[in-house]
Amino acid sequence: MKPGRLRAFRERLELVLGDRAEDAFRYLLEGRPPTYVRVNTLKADVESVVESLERAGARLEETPLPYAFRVLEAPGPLGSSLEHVAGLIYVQDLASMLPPELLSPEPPGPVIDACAAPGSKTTQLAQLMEGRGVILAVDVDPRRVRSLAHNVERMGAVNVIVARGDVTRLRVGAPYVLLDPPCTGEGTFHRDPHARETWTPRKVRRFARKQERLLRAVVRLLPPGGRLVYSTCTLSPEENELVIHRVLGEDERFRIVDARPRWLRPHTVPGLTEWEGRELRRDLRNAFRVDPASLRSDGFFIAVIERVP
Amino acid sequence: MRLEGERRAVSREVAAALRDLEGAGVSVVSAGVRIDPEDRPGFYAAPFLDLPTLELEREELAEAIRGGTRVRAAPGAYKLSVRGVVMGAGRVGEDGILRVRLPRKYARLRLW
Repeated sequence: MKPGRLRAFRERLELVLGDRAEDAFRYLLEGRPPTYVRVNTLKADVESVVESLERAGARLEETPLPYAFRVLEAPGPLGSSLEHVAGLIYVQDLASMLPPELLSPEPPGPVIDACAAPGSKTTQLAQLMEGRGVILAVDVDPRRVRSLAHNVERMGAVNVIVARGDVTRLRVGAPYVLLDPPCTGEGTFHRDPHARETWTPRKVRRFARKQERLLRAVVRLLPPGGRLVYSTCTLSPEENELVIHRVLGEDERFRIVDARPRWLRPHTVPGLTEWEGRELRRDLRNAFRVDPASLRSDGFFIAVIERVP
Repeated sequence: MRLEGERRAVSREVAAALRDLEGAGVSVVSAGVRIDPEDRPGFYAAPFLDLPTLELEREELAEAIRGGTRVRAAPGAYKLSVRGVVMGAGRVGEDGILRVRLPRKYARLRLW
């Protein structure tokens, strides 16, 4: 990243993460990202999959999520393990497992996963629903839809419908909606050199426009009492709080709730309610950023939005 | 259920929802898991078929994924298990070779 952009990125981090910014900056620019796997409980129990990996030479460490493990050591890339090929595990960052956890869907749903490819969160939703009910996994990109469909097969997710289409044209509603739109990926700079090298403030604004269009579209799919999780693996307010504020305004039919489990709280920073002198919705303080250096994960922003019954 | 001529395992609710998706503004690409004929099952069909279990060493399954491996088993379709963990389904041919139906990309990996 060019020195000027690096400085701009660091200054922005200080505004959103405060005294955690220095550690986060170092972690995202210099850190070695840990690998996490999610055990697919649709196919096997956690214990037997862990045993199988350990017998093959992997060393795993527990996380607060009972089905997620940090991989300390492995005989080869996790994507080349028999457990991966068989769909017993999904290589997925710990922070990326949080949006489905916080959506907390119950069968029969339905659930709409609005930007679903390649399917990490879709298949996690399927396992949280224990293979019951319906998840409609939609993505607009035909190539990415193919990989989504394959991952749904691999993980044995019988409760998932894979569909190609523009979510802004979707004409079905659902009480659970997950929107994890394309973003600049600031929270993945430590493992995505492309995201790091192509980052510019202008790119942030470009993604923000797309995210606003998508959020505006999916909010209308939510019936009273419904729940929507908006998440990104980026930290910029323009792609997060400002998108939500522009779409929801002060609309009281919606509320942003604090759904963080206790174990997660020390690894998070509350959402902003003010940016560049402009006041935002007050309940945005219930949204949060995951501090990547603290959780040893990707940086993430998550907001749980409920439509008042 | 059948989707574009394929036999697939889906939840009961998915089968009903598929009918309601016409005119919803999306085009359905797939649903659930492809089963294929029971005598030549897809690798991922294992949980949905009542098949005998063939216990394998890790390396044997890796060989089967790379293209095929000779096993001591009667011809037919099996659930393939490594130390009690079912990994997938495959078929032993008349030639005694176990083969599995998986995307070709997996055959090129250095499986472990």
